[in-house]
Amino acid sequence: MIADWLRRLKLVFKQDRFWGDLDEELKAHVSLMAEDLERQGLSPDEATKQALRKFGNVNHIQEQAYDAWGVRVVTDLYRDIRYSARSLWKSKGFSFAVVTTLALCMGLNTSILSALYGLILKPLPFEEPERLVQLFNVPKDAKSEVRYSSSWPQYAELRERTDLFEGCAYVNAVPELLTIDSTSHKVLAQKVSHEFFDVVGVKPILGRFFQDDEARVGAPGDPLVLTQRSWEVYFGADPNVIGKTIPYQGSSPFVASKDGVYTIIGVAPRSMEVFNAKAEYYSAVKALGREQRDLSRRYGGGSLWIRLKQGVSRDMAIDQIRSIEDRWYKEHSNPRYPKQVERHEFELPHPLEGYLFLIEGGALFILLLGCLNVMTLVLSRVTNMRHEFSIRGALGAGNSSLRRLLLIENSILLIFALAIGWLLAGVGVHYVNRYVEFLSPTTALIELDWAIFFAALGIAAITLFALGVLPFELLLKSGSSQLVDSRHRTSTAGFQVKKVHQGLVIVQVALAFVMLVGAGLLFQSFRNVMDVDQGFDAEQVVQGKLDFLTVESVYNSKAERSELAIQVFEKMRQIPGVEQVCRTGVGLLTDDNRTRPNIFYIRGESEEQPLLASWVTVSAEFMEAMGISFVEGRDFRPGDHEQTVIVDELFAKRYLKHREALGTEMWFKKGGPPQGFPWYRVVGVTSKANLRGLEERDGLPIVYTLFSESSGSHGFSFYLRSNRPSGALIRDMQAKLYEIDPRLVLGSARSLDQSIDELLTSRKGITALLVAFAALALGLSIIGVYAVLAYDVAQRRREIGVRGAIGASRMVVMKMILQQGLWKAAIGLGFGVLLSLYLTRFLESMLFDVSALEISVYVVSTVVFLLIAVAASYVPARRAMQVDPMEALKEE
Amino acid sequence: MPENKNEVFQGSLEMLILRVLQTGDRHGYGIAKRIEQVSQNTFVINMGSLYTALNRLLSKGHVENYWDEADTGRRAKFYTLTSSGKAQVGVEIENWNANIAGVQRIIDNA
Repeated sequence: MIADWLRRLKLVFKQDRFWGDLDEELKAHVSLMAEDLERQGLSPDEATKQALRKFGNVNHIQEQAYDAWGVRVVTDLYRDIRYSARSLWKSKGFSFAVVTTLALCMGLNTSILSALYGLILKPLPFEEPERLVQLFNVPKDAKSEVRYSSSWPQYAELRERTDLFEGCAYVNAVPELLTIDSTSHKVLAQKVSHEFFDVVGVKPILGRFFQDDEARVGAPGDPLVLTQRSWEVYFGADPNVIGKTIPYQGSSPFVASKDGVYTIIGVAPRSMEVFNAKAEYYSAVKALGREQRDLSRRYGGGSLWIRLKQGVSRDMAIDQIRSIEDRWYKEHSNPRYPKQVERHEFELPHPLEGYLFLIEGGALFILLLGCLNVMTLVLSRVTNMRHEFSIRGALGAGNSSLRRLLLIENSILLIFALAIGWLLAGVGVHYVNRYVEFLSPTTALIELDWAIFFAALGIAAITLFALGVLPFELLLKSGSSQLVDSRHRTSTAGFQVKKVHQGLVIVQVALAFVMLVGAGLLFQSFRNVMDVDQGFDAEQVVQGKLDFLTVESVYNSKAERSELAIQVFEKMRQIPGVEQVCRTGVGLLTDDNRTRPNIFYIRGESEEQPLLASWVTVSAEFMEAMGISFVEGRDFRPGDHEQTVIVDELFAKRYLKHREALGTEMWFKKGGPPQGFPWYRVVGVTSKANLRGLEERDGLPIVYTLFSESSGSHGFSFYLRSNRPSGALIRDMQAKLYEIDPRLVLGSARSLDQSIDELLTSRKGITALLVAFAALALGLSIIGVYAVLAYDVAQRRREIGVRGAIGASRMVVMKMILQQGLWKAAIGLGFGVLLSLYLTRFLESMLFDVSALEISVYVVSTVVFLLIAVAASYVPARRAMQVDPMEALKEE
Repeated sequence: MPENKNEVFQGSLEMLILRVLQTGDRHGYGIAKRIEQVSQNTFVINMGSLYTALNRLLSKGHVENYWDEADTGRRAKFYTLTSSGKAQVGVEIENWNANIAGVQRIIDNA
């Protein structure tokens, strides 16, 4: 059977030889027959004649012999493919344009949709995911996207009182120190309440999960469930891993004992990675201390996962949670901890959601443009091929075989587009993942989604086939006489086609213009952000940080930690070339604490509306070391106490407009400081320093205070100003820390300039993408305008020839074509402006110091577009100019 | 040409070719001539049928062909049985005989 097919395949690929051989064989046959007849006494002439007659129709016999192989379908296809490939190769421009357009559209949309699906739209990979929800607390005061997570007291309360949940579980990701091979490693653990796996609805792939009594306070033993990843990576997927032990250093407030030993009891399936892709294992929460205090109801830091009972709607559940919470606050009213939570929600907007939808919007625009482009191109090609079709038709090719040729041509284009598109999608996903890692580090990496790719392929196929074959069918319907009569290649014939064409170009130009305006606005925003005065001198400043977890596990008492902070500070000063050193309580230029503004009340003013500001504790040298200047008042000086306050200009402008800023007294709780304590008192106003990044310019005002040794803030973030290169400086910093204590680790050491850059990553990314999209859109519309005009000129050769013959100069002809191109562009631009005015509002949240209606962006975009329209029209116009009247007329 | 000259029965030509090739390699014309001679001109071979049958046998792998010199010194394409072809001759003849017997029974008894 296989041998049969191999023989046939050989025939398919050695057709020329087969036909040659057969021809020769049949000739030999006839000659042999003739020789026999000659021997019987016929003259050579007569013999040959009779042999030929007796033999029959040679062509017919050859065809029959060939048919005996049963491969005609295949060989015809092969022949048609070769023919189509050659014809596509001949119109390289067309093929290239169609393939790149389709590949780009497919690749772009697949990678971005994969990201959207993987990050946001994909349902949780568990049973009945619609019943599995996470609870978020929405605060009263903060921006709309801020959500408080849940807490242990809230979990305990809800579990006790609700009757709408099938189960609820608490989970909190915390770093822990494990001892592996006698060195300590900081790893991310998921501390969970015992029901977690049941609520989610997964089964262990090995061993078992936690039991009710294992996660209780004071329960003996420390059971641990590995993630599948760490089971594979650290234990080589060892099936005998159950029962092995791992020692840990108890530093986290969530474990019962100080130090201890984990015992592995099970392995969780990979699907659990959706909760936190970076976590290495699960261990039971034994809520103690901090976690259980009512205060932590607000700042729990954990998540509450709930499985709703069958038939319970989300709204019903939220209503009940709300009433339970309200009741709790009534019962436990404490003026020191007012209720800050306004409502509860099950939805959390993904940090990348806005970006991704915007990018996908852009990608869809490109897809639309691409389809339009392919339409234009294919339409031109089919119309141009009419002449060829008419000849082939006259030679006997039926409509079905012409249709087949078209199908094959389009299939070839599609296959190339598929291959390149797949490649581009892979590259796209790679780049998306780089951003995902940066912006949403606990999310698992995105994989290219086959279903989406094939959906994109489907769209491309429909576009191609519908557009490749439909015009042909229309031509057929309009009468085959049109196909054959080549005189119809004049301007009147393609009237329908021309109208469609013009419509396509106008839409294309409009869409591309929208993209250009969008990119222009984002680019302008980017420039504006870069132009923001950061308000401090980041040049030649290197930051370093002591890892708090290590410090806490090694230095037990507050006093020891204070001592350490001062020691580090002194050692850093000793590094050669260091001009200044300062410390702060929080890291600068990071997202730390950004979502938790502090509250202040001014003495003698209404306490109705608390003032929001970020609170930065610094050492006395901070202002000088950072080059922050003063608007009024003075810097910290020796002898200042913890209640000495410096505010920034924004604070003064926003809250102290009506009064003298210096001397203002305030406190961070209602009712002022306790008896005998001094108020905070403002002694200076600095210029605005954008310590949280350039884009935070209009964010929160800053209140600076000095470190207080008693409050436990020690300033483990330190900043060194030096003109030495940052690499060498960081090495020296490490060496100094080692001198103090070899166990200390230097964290996030880098220059401040670098940090500023990193904060701009996402804006840079999206701006670059949109600019790239706009460039793409421009490119596509150039091709569109060019294709239509080139087609038009080819159609109107005769008319142009006649015009030339009756005296139109070449310049007049050229002007005519250019004018046409510009008209189309102008109409498209008109629509584009209207569309942009509407669509750019969706960009507004990403704009910085630019109005969505920024006139200069519109003007520049228009000018760019008109120039491009001229350029795209120029080539066809030149071609029209070079039409020789005599030649054109003779051709007809 | 005499009226009673028949075309070879549909389907039997392949068997006849295989049988003829059992006696030695022959070219297309030689095969046709041999069938006509042995059947004492009962059958006329249609050339279209002959080459269809030969190519079908080639595609099935029952015969192979090669270029060689015919008796007159002219180059011609010779056909030869392959091992599967040699086995096939017996099968085909058996089938044929069974068919003929069946036909004969219908003629005799219907």
